[in-house]
Amino acid sequence: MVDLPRNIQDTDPEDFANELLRKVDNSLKCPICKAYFDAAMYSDCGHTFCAVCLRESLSVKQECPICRKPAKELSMKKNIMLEDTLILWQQARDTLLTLERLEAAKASKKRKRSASIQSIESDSNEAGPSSRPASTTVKKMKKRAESTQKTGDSTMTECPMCQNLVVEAIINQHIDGGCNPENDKKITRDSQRAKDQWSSVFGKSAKRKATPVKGETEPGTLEKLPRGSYDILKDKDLRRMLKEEGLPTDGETEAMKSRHKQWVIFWNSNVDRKFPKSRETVKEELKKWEREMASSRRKRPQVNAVEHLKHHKTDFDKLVQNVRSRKPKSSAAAPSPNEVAEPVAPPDVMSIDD
Amino acid sequence: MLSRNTNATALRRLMTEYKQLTANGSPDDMFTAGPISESDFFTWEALISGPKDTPFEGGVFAAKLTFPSDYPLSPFKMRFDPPLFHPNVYADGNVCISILHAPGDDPTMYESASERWSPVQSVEKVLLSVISMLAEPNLESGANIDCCKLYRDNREEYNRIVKASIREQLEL
Ligand SMILES: [Zn+2]
Ligand SMILES: [Zn+2]
Ligand SMILES: [Zn+2]
Repeated sequence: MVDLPRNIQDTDPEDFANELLRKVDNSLKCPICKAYFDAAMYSDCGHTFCAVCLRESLSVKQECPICRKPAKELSMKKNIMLEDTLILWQQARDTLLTLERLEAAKASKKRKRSASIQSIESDSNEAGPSSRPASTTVKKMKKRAESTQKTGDSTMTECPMCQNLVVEAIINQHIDGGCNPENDKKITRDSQRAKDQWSSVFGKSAKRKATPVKGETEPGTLEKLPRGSYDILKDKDLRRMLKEEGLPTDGETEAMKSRHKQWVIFWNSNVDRKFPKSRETVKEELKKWEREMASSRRKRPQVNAVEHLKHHKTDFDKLVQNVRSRKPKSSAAAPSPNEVAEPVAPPDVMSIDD
Repeated sequence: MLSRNTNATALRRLMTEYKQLTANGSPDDMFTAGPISESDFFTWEALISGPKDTPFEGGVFAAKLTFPSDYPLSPFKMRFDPPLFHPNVYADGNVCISILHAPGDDPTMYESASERWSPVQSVEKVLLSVISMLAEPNLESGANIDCCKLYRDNREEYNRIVKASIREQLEL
């Protein structure tokens, strides 16, 4: 597996199996960087992005990246409610993932159980019909386990296999576990843990962070910077502006320009954060950004052709096979010359094949 | 291993796109795309199957995608390797399509801004546009002038050349 930088591992954790939960999760991610919104902001059209992502995009073209309606940096507004929702969602997320996993484990146990009962059933009536529907067996079992007893809060029932008294709620898992009392204890612990998880979603343990943590600044105390008119600035103006911000003044004119430009984007987006980071932290981000831009200008290593082929061999074979298996139509209708190709959304592309 | 200085935003975007492409596949299995090697997430290979009812039907076309460090702010580059005979593909294989042109520059002056790159475009959307371009070349932003002329004036010969090149490819 590729060795990922830490911040990517953090923001790209495991996905939900449930499609709806996955959609909710993705709706809280920025359409540009695909990470959770960092200071969610929108322009006149209402489409929301991270403060940095939208500012950077507007610095290239003054339009919404999604609907392309005209948009200006000055009209950017904070989406405060979305940010609150995001904080709560991130707190509930781990719990939901755990619950989803427990549900899946339970479902697979159930499947195994009905399979094992079927095999017991066919063992005991070797002469009769080999497999009766599992539901009949379950009903019969329930009848056999009619003699139930109360012990404390849990209803006890007689296990049809080992005739011991077992907590009714875990009878299925008990049978799956081969009537092992050690196994019963573990099952009880697991189900208790699941209950605790729910209470942490709704209970008082899901308390919202109210005060800034280390490296964050008290909100409302920071001011935004105006954008420079970089085209008319002289080197000495640039140096002065960088010095005022406590930034390095080395490098060519272009390097200084882009350093200051990016600083304004980073800093103003930081002011838009619910809990702005410290000046030093943002400076670190700028330093990292400058290093990344410099390193990416260096030439990348040439790709080894053999490795490349090996990597895509199966994909390629599959695709070739797939394409070959399609029967070509007798006459390929040539597209009309008046029709001008336009990039189209997926549904329109499908019509090519119609 | 990846260099420590690789742009984190670009990398995360590419990882997410790759993950989604692998998980969902492409509509009708029309293409596949992914990084060529684990050591460089900024160079991908795409394989496109020629759209039905076009002379490209039956062919499989490989292209190299090169991503800039400020992706998705800037678009990536796409180059067919080997080059493709098509009105919108340069002799070196580079693809000329409006969705891959940054909103600022318009080399042809024929593209409306709504067709250009924006940071919410993606590998998937571009490849679908390219597939649509294979079916319907855009003669107003031609990259291969001879091919444009042939497409316009002698469609039969154009179709024949395209089909012959595909047969040649598959028999290799
Ligand atoms: Zn973002
Ligand atoms: Zn919009
Ligand atoms: Zn038992």
